[in-house]
Amino acid sequence: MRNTVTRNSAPRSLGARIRTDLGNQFKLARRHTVHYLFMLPHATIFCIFTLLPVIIAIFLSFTSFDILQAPKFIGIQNYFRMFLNDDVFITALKNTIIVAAIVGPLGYILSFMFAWFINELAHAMRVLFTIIFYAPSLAGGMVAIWSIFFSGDSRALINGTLIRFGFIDSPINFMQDPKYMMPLIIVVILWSSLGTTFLSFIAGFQGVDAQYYEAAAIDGIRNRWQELWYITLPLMRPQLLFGAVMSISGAFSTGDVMTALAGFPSTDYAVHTIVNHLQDYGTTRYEMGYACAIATVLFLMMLLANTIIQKVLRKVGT
Amino acid sequence: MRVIALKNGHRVVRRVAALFTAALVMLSYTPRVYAEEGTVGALSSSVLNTDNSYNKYCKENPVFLNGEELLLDITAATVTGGELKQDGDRPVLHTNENATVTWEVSVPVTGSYAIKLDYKPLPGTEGIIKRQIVIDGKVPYDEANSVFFTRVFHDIGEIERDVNSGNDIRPKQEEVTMWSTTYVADSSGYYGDRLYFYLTAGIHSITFNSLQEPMIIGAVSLCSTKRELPTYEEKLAQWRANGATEISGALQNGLMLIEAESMHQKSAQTLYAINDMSSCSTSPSHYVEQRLNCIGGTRWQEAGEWVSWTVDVPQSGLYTIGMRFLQNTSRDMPVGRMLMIEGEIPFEEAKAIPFSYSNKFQTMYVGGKDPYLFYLEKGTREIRLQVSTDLVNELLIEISEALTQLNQVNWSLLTVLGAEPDLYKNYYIDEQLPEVIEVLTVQAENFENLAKRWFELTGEIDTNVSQLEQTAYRLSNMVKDPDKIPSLYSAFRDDLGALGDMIAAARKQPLMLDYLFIAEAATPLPKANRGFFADLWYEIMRLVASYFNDYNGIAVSGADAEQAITVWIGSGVTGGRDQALALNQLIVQDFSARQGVAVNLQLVPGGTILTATLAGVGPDVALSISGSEPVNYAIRGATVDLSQFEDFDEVMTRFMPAAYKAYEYLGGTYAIPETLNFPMMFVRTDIMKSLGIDTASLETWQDVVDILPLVQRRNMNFALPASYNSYAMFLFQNNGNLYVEDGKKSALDTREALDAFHNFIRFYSDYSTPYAYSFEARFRTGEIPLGIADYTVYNTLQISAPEIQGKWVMMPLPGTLQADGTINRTGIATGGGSIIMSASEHKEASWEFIKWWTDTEAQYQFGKELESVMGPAARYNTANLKALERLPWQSADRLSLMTQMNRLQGLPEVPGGYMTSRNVDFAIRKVYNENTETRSTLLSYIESINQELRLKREEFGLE
Repeated sequence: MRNTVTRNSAPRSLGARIRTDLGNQFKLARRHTVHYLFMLPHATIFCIFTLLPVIIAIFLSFTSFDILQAPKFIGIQNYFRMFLNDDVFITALKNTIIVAAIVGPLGYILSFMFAWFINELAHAMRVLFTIIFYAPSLAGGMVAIWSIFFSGDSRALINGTLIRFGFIDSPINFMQDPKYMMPLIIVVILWSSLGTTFLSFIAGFQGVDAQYYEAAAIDGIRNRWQELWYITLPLMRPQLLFGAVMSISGAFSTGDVMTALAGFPSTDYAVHTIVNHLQDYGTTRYEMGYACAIATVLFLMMLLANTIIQKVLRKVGT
Repeated sequence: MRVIALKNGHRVVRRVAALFTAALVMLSYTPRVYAEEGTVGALSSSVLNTDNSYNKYCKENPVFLNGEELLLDITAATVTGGELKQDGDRPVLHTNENATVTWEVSVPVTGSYAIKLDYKPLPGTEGIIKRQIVIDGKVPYDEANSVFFTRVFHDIGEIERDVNSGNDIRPKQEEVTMWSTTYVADSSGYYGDRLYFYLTAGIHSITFNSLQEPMIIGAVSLCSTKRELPTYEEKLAQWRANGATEISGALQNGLMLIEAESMHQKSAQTLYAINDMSSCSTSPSHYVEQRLNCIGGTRWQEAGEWVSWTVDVPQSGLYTIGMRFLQNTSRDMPVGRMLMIEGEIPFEEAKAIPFSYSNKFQTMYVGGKDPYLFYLEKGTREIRLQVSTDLVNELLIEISEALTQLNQVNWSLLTVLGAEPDLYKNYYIDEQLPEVIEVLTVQAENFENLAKRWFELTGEIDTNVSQLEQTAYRLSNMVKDPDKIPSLYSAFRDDLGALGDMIAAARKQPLMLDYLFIAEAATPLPKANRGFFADLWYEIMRLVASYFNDYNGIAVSGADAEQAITVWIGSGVTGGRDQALALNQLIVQDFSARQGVAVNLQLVPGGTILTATLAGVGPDVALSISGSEPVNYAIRGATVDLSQFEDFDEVMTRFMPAAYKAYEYLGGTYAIPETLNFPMMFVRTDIMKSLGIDTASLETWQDVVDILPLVQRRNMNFALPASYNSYAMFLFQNNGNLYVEDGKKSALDTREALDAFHNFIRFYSDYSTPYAYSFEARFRTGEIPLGIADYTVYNTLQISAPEIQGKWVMMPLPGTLQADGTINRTGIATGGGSIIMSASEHKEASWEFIKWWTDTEAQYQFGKELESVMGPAARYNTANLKALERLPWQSADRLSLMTQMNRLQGLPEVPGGYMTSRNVDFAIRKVYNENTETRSTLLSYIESINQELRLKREEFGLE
């Protein structure tokens, strides 16, 4: 009997709940019409140019599509192929994880450290240093100058200097020799990673009210580390979160730097990332279905990484 | 225990002491470095003496004029490649572009003679006529290697206005074939109007060798005279003595304008009317419609180029002459023009009229504040302005000469130091190469002096002065402490490059002219600009108009917009915009006018074609689609198989089969070639000669390898691009193939392919030729006197390296010896082509367009136009054989090109073919980086090529 009641009453109550919920939501929405109107322009653009493409890409990842002919549905074959029959993808996955694991946290910490140090400076100096550190990421194509540094020509800057001072006899082919490519490229990415993250941190530091430090000092904060951990960081949590998301998505989607420095594709795929792999299939081979599958995997990886990061950051200051 | 330790300790101390003493002894007896390299040191002084300039010749044979004039007998000449004809009542010599004409002359009195001749150009490729002068079987100096005879052009008709756009339309130009009299002069314009040849009394042979273009030679004479010009004062006195007076009241407002764009004649086709919108005072001008209102600018800057105008003089008498001009390029030096009236330079001062720098238009009278008077006779008179480097000639000659000496020093140093000297090694330069120190000492002083004189000339410490000072400082440092030479060497080499660039730049004399005027002596100078507010209003109108006007003019041209075909041209190509403009002009004037088909030409970034086609906004025709793209599109059904058109076979006879090999797939052809690139061998003949290497004998790669030690011993090297295409060249020369059965499988695992790879990669692994390098830069300095590079490098070298002009040649590629004793000298052809998209609704019209565009006439006109806009460095690498032949190449170079063209092969395209080049590149890098075994390395990459081929064939249902 009880069972029956439960069985009978549960759907009813659920349906009713949904109805009332929807009703409530609708009421809420009506009350906030103006807000929704304000959101509308961006929401429209977001849906058309971000959300829709993501959905289409996920759909295309289950097809075979060469841009010109209609897509053919082939189930999860693309995913099978990616994980079981594509060595280069595994290499790309490995490279991406290496880059993300090193550049993501390191770039994040570097950004934070620099922001922290600069924050201690006088106003004029702060502005100056902010510009200096932010400049590399402002000038997007600047990465290409490193290819002049690392050129395999015996007259190029680094080879020329090394030969001049007798460290080497013949030029090293830095950007075509798998021995050197990965470390050098990681350095270059770090150099250019003081971007948006860095700016948001500077803003975060600026946003902390001096009263808190005063109060904390009275409450028994003993040193700058404690100040940082218990006051600054918790107050900066939104910026930290934003910075983390930017860092991680930036680290996972590197690829242009590799192309600019090591060429496309890099020797023996030594610095081939998932983004490079995606470009390879999308533009060289016109296998859009497979490229979309790669994109989907990349998307999921970034989603996962962001979730983890957010979990970790909640622990800050506790 | 302790004892043993102590004992051991003693032993260690003793050993160290012994070693130390031994080291000391050895150090003191270390043979000096050059002892081991004695041969190099001994050779260096004799090796590189290449100064063969006219300047040096004149020092050895001082100009001695005896006033003799000696007419040569045209009919007595020994001629090959030409024939004697009758022109009216006198005999003339028709010489073709490979002709040799020799006279045996009995010279009565020893002296310096100039060669004067009457010539008339024959129709050729409309390029400059070039001849080499040989005296007694020898070219006496470098300047005689290539002397120029200009052609004359004029505009057909007036400038007209387009009804639709309101823009001016440039009139067509044509050559004026007429007799001219000139002296043999040097092409750089350094040495005035004639070159002298020192001839002793007795019999001499004088030879004209054709280098480029045919011409008719009329009278030829030897003159031991010079150009005598009176000074202005003398000339004026002479005019006045003849009764000439200043004119007044004959001209309206005392002034008569001659628009610069309405030329009479000109020496080059690049001197056409152009549009200037930088000033509202330019006549005529309009704020939005394009008026052709000027001539010149950077198109009128090379020595000897001239433009002439005619003026109707109302009354005989003395006039002043002036002009409105813009000289905003040469900040440091005024540019010079020579003024000629009726073909004569009136007086000495008119040889080089200075035009000073300003960022705005200026007006001036010839002669400045106190204008010169010129006697003009009533009637139609010709005024000519010719680029003249007279203002800087003397200094430039000296700097060039100094540079030649320093270049020799550079080579001597290179043979000892190598390109990258070891800073920790003592080279004992002062003992090894005492003559180098000597030259440096002299030149250090010389450069200081030159800097001072340049400063006196310009009155400013400009970049040229500081470059000269810097060189002087560097040289004196090298002399002061010869041990520092190794560390200063690379800066020294940079100085040489900078000086070469400086000479090339200082020789350029760009000037833009708006109008000329003849005026009565009392007329005040017209204002050059209408003033600030007029300019402001003009700029405002331009800004406003920019929102309403389609400047591209690349809009639909022609009758029916509905039937218009859309043509895309990639904007990624160098000079993409210039190319588009040049092409559009051709389309409007030629194609649309003739075919009645409107063309909508659009400049679009490459790589968007497929997506645009998918979205239904793609073009009908896409141009300059390169490499594997046509076949890639074709596999997916995006492009039309052009071989289905009726006259396809006829069209393809315009090209070498290699040019369209990459566009063929399964019996279809998907693109018509536009451009064609292939490598050639570039050789520094001066260096090869001094090394005793006969360049003509370099027929196979083995020959190159055989001479490598000779070259490398002097720290120079051979260059071969480390690329997939280079490997393909070796592969084809070794009778290998890329694929078996139309791309079923890679054929790189065959014996031929593996051997070819081995032979190719050995250049880097065994013979240590450079892997990454800048060919142009090192070829110029002589570090790479021998190398393989794309043939278009020829143009770059011609323009940017004046100091090695005439000291290098372009040769067909070396080959591989075959079993039957022949040599396979195949080169790899690459390029771009035009395609028609399958989505096009105007396929027939598109085909007509492509046929027109790839035809000889359009390709030739396009190439000529590009060259006139962007200069000879932008010479168009057309795939059309006849058009290429008509471009103004020197005949020896054209022959080399044609020889190589007949030996080209294209790279076949198959589905998945990109994996071949990718993996071969990987293999090349692997061997270079890790020095792995060559054949097995290549083999290890074959599987991934085959896998991709298989996958792609499955995808396209070919298996």
